Amino acid sequence: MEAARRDRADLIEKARNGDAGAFRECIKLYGSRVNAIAYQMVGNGEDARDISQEVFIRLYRSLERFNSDYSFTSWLYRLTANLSIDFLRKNARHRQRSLDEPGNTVDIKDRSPGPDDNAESSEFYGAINRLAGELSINQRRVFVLRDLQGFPTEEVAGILKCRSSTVRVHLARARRRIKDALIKHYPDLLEVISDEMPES
Amino acid sequence: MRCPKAKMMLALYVGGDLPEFKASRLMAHLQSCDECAAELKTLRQSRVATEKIGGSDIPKALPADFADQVIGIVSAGKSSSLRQVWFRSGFQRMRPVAILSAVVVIVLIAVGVTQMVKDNKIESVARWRMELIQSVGGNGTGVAWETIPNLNDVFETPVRMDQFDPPREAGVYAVMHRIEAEGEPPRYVIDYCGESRRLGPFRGHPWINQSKGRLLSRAGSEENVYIAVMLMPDSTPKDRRDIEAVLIEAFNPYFNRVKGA
Repeated sequence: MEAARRDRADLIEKARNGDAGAFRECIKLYGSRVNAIAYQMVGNGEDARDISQEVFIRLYRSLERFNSDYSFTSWLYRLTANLSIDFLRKNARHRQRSLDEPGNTVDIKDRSPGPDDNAESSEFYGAINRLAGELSINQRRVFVLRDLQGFPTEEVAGILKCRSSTVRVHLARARRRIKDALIKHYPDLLEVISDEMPES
Repeated sequence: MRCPKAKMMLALYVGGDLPEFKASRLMAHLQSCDECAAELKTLRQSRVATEKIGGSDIPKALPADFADQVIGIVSAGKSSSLRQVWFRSGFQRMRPVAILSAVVVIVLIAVGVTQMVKDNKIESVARWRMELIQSVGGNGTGVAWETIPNLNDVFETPVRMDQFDPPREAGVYAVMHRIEAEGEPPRYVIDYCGESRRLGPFRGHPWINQSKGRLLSRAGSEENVYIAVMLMPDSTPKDRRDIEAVLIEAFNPYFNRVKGA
C-alpha cells in the first residue's frame, strides 16, 4: 500500500517535471474515476468524456503550480466536480425541468450512451440520473462523492474544501430527497427490498 | 428532539455519518416515535436501492486513445471542445418560459396548501425559551452554537452562507459570524434572526434582502458569514414568529436591535 502510494507520488512528480509518459500514466490511472464522477454529476456519457478531457487539459497546464504538500487526488476530484458543476449551471435551464413534465422520460432515454454501452441492458439504467436530478447542485456533488463514489465524509469535505458538518447537512437532505424520489418513481423496487431485508 | 430534526439525523445515521453522541439521542427518540422508526426503515431500503441501481449505472470506460487525445490537444496548445459542448444545447435552453412559470405556480399553490396543515410545532415555546436563555447566558463572547443542546436539537448545523443550500420548507433562520481564535471550537455572534414562509427564496442569491454589505460589515469577509436554519415545514407564520422572538430575546442580534443599520 505504502509502496503504491510512493509510486503514485513519483509519477505525479515526474509529470510535474514535464514527463509526457508519466502524464499519460496519470490519465490512465485516474481517468476512469474522473469520468465516473463527471458522469454521475452530469448524467450523460458524452458530456462526461468532454469534462474529463477538460480536467486533464487543465491538470496538465497547472501541474507545475501544484503544491505537493496537498492531496493530489482531492485536487483532481475537486477540479472534476467543479467543472461538472460549471457545466450543469450553464445548462441549468435545459436540465431543470421537473421529472413530472411531459416528455422528460424521452429526454432521459435520449441522453443515454449508445447501444454499445455495457450498462444499457440494466432495467435501472439511467435511474441514478433520474433520481439525482431531484437534487440541488450542492446536494448532488455530495451525494455522488459520498454515496456513489464511496469517499468518506472527511475526504468529501477535503475535496470540496468545506467543513464536514456542511457535507453532512447536504448529505442528509440529498438522501431524503433520493428516498422521496424512489418512493415516487420506483415503489416496486422498494417493496422488493423491503421483503428481502431482515426485520431489525 | 423534534421529528424534522430526527429525520435529518436518520438520513445520516443510515450511512454511518452521524457522530456517536448524536446517535444515542436519536435512538432515544426512536423508542417513542413510530413515525421516525418508519422513516428509518424507508431510508434503509432507499440506501439498499441506491447501491443496487448505482451499481447498474456504471459509465462506459474512456476510449483507449483518450490519453493520446488529451496529450495531442495540450501539445498543440489547442483549447478543448468543452466550450462548444456547453453551448450545444443553446436552442433547447430557449424553451418557452411558460413551462417554467406553470411549474412555479404549482409549487406556490402546493406550499400554500401545506402551510394550512398545522403540525410539528414546538410543544412548548415558553419552556424552550426559558431553557435556551439559561443555556446561552449572554452573547458578548459569542455562542458555541453546536454545543447548546436546545439549539442543536432543533437547528441544522450552521453552514457558510456562500455554501448554503436553501431547503424548500418554511422555517426560522439565524445569520451569524464566527469569532473564535484559530484552532479553537467555533463561536458565533448572531447578527440577525428571521422567519420565512419558504426558505427557498434564498436560492440563487444567498444574501438576505440584498443586505450583503451590511452583513459583511459585521463579519469582515464573505467566508465568515454563517447561517443556521430550523425547519418548520407545516408551521403557521405565528408559530415561526414565536420562535423568532425567543431567538431575538436570547441573542439580541445586532440587525434586529438596530433597525435600518
